[in-house]
Amino acid sequence: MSEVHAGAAPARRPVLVVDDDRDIRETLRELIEDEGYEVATAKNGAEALEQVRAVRPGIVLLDLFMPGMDGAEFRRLQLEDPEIAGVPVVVISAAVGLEDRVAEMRPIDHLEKPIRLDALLAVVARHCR
Amino acid sequence: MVEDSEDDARLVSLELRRGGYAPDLERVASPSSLRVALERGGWDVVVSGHAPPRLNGLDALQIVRRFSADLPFLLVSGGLGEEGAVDALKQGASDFVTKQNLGRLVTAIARELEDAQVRREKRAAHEALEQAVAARDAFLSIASHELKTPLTALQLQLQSLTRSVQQGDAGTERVSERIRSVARSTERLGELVNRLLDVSRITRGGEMELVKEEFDLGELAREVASRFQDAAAEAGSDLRIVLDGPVRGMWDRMRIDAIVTNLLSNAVKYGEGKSIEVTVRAQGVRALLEVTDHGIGIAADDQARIFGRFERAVSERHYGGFGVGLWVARRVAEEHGGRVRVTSRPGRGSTFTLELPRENAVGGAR
Repeated sequence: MSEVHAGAAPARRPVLVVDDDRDIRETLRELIEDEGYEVATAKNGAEALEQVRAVRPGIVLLDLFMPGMDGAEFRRLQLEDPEIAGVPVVVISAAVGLEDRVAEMRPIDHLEKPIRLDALLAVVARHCR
Repeated sequence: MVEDSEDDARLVSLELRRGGYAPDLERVASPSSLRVALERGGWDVVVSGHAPPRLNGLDALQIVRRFSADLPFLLVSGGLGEEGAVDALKQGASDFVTKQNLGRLVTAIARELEDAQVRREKRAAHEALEQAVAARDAFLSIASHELKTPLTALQLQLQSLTRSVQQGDAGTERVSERIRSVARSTERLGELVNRLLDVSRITRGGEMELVKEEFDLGELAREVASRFQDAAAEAGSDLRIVLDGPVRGMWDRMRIDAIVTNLLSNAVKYGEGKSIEVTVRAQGVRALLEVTDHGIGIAADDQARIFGRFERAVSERHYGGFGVGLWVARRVAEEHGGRVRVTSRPGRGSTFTLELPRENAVGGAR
């Protein structure tokens, strides 16, 4: 299957926000939409897998600890599926001392909560052109 | 007793009996039999001759010390000079007694037993302390994670609000909505901090000052449930409340509110999107509030544990929270003269019941 969207308008790739906290999820959505991106959201790893397959985001902003499927498990399943394995992931975590576990997930970046918005938007801009 | 000579052993035994001990004495004479006896355990003290042919005192000492740093080891010897004695003490012997002065054996043993007891108590206290520190560390790391979540929401909402205002949206519905989200997050942070304070208060003193007033438990349940409608709907759970007339009593309204809030938040969190029922009814002198979900349930082994402090049946990686809610709930209920209990089946859901006495209500017994 070809990855090229022949003939389509050169739209920017959407951003997928994955966080179980509704306030964080919705505020991130507003902020990123304000920058002119399309945003999809998911509240756990299972929903995130569905969304990655459905919307083919340019980047996934991934929370670690979520009820049901957590961020690490999402990442493991994502990397197993060659169709979606290439979608870059930024891990956003609130807990301390998880550097090793996060590194194993091979994210393109790791941001800690509270989130620095300029850093977040910079990563998004690099991957969703 | 490490001793080759039957006679010497009998002498020591006699001396011990004269000193008021009824020793459960076993004589070993070789490294292997010493090890077997040590493995079996239950010894209070090792008494060793200095130079039994098959196992000399210093070798026996080494075997004993490899086995336990604490077990008192007394050397009894005829020909051990001052230097030999100092050597043995350096290598970890507790004391030494000469055969000529065997009368000192009983006092030496009594002191060693006492010292060993003190060492055991010290070690137990030290271990308990280390465990408490570890539990507190774990709690602090969970607490900081829990506080960071609403803090992150708040910080993002403020940035979003700032942008709206900079873009000249002041006074618009968009800005009002963003201000409302900021207020909501602030409230949430405040609630978390209050719960943390409750935990530290209960942990420190155990005393809890209840502020009792008369109110209807059903009405309170309805209030709390209405706060959870959104969260339940988002989780896909249908939240129903069944009231059976007013159930009034004298209770601490804020603390009971916190218990019901905790039970409902657990029901939503662990309910897997299935229906949730809250019922309130009177049963004799008791007021009963039940919260039933049909979610993941709790294994029988975990059902008592979850009421402990910093405990939860599942990993905090998957479910947020301090892991102290049910512990606080239990303590508050007990302070009222009531209790919190659970019946549950894994995969079928759980029913948490808050039982409170009604006799303090106006028109009641007291």
